[in-house]
Amino acid sequence: MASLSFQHVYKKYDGGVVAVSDFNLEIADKEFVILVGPSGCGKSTTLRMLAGLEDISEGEIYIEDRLINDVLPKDRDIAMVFQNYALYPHMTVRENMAFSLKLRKMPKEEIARRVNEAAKILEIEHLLDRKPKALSGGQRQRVALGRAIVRDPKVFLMDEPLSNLDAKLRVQMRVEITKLHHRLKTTFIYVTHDQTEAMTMGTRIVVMKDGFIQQVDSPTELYDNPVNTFVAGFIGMPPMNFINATINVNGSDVYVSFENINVKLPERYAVAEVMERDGQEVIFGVRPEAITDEATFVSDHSEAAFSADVDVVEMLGAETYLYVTVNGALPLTCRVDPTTSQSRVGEQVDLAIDTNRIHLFDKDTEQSIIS
Amino acid sequence: MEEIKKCMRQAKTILSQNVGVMDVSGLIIAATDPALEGTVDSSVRAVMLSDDAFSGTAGRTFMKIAIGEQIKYIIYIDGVEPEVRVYLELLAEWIKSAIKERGTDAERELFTKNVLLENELPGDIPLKARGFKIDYTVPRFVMVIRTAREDGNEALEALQNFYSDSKVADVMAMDEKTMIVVMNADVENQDEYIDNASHAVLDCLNSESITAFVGVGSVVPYFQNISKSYRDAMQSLKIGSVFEKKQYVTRYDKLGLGRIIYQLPPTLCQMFIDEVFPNGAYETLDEDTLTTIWSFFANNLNGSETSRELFVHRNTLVYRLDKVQKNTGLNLRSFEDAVLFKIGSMVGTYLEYTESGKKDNLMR
Repeated sequence: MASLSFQHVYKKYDGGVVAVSDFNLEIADKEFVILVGPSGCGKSTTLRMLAGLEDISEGEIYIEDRLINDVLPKDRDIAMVFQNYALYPHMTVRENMAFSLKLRKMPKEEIARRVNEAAKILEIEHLLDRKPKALSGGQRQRVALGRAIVRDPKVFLMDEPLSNLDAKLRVQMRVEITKLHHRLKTTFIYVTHDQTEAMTMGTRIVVMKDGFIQQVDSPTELYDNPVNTFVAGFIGMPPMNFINATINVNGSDVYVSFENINVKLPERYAVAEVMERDGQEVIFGVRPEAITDEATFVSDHSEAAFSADVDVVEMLGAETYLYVTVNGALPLTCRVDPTTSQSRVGEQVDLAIDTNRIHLFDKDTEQSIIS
Repeated sequence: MEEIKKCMRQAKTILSQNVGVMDVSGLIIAATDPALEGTVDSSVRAVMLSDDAFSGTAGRTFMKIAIGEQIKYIIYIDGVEPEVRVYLELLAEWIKSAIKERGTDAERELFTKNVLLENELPGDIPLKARGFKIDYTVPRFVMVIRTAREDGNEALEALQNFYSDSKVADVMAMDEKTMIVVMNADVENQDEYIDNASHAVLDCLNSESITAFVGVGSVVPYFQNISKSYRDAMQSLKIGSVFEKKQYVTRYDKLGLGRIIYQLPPTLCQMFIDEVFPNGAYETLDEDTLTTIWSFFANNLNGSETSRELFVHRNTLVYRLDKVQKNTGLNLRSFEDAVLFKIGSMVGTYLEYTESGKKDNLMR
């Protein structure tokens, strides 16, 4: 169990290439923090710097109050799980779990105790005498976790550990890892490029892009209040609709206009940050679920209603996605209720935006206008 | 020793009696009851004094095992019944063949090393390979794994356990920080297979908290050609350490521009640098400017994206690019100048590497 502190951490390579820039983060004891971002954003490099597998160019990393910049990887009290299970094929599960402790010359009794304890936590006691080839993908992943648990580390690091599993198993293992975190009560740091994994597992999420932290927040805050278009677009599936729009101020009323449609914004948008942009272009962000075809809502919100042509209807059971085009030019995605939606491909549909759930971003900086 | 322990582990699943092997001083080196390992049996003196192959004391039967002419081990079994002598004889033969096999393994490893280092006569290789039961015609590739000196032993042990089946791969140490994996590549999708194998090696070592870099050679059709794959893998590791510092795995078939630049003579490189960056113009660029340039390149020369990525105003970016043009004469907004800058900087990196004497430092 340990708290962590990253202070102005950089990873720079010769010739000016910077993989991680000014990374600052405080992680409390027992937190489950997810580093998420597209490939090449620096998330794995950050994790590797913490593990000691990569040198730190600048800045300091502390585990509890101990500066670990120059501590050898094996002395950092950290265990890492990777995408490849990296199990030893001729060894039994028990021997696989014991291997790293054996390398560290730990007494046999202590090794046996730790292996049995880890097997109990992971509920794989019945698999201890099997070899990896006799295990399913999920069981192998559990053994890989077991190899980390036996080290009794202060911090668990996981680098895309579920990427090799099929979709169904991934969902199952997501739940397993979350349960494991509750059971072990240890600090977990988890790297993924999958925003669904990030949203479902983490107590806090660090969104990264091009080596920079974009936002650190709880899953709900990230979803509801993204600080820029990158976070807004990266978190949520299907992604947020981004519309090039213009702010129009009429007295104390604020409108966003696009494709000859004027959507009146709620009163909370009648603030200086928005009003001073009268006539200026902004990026108008609307999540798919904030656009509805429900007849009552549309008739009650005529100030935010418009028509569109339905291109594709995707029925997923609990929800339906409509892919529509406004005025033949602006494509939008909407998430509607399949029990009430009557929309059909090729027909026109009346839609309305829930203006309490919209976002405005600066056209140049792409930062949120209202924080 | 490991092979004797393995025999004991297997004997445990067959025999109900306790069995063990000790050295001539009485130290039990392997036993079906692991708790006895490391303890000393005082009966050994009496056993060694006896002229018979078998002897028995206090409910135990002992048998001496000679390797060549010399008695090396004593095997024991709990019980004094006549049939336990048969068990001991069988176990003794089992242990002898396991030890012999280890000797063959050592010879096989030496032979493979000699082939890798081109110390074998080409004409002898197919015949000797057959002698060691090495399939000569299976396509193979070589991976060179470099770790820190202090991690060498652990890395070798981890890799030997990771690739325990010699039909899949042979693992050996070239020196205390360099491991070699000669891997069969008799698969349909070689590209994906090589990618997975090299990353699996890296993950295996990283899981044991060992930092490693992997160089992957080209696939060769015959065992005789593994020396070429070894050379390629070494070169990948070197080129990676110069041009691909962010990569932990460098493949010979994916070296890009680095492959060409690495072959250029330093004098030619210096002439090119003098032409592209006259009067040491490259050295006038500070770290911020270089970061800006690489970000500008990574964003396909798109100014808006670059300024957003670097959190700088677009005018700042324009100012920095103008400064580069003033210092180097290269307008990075033009594709041709951008390419020239990129190649020039890579050539400069290579020159710096050749001059710094870092040629043997493959850990980056």
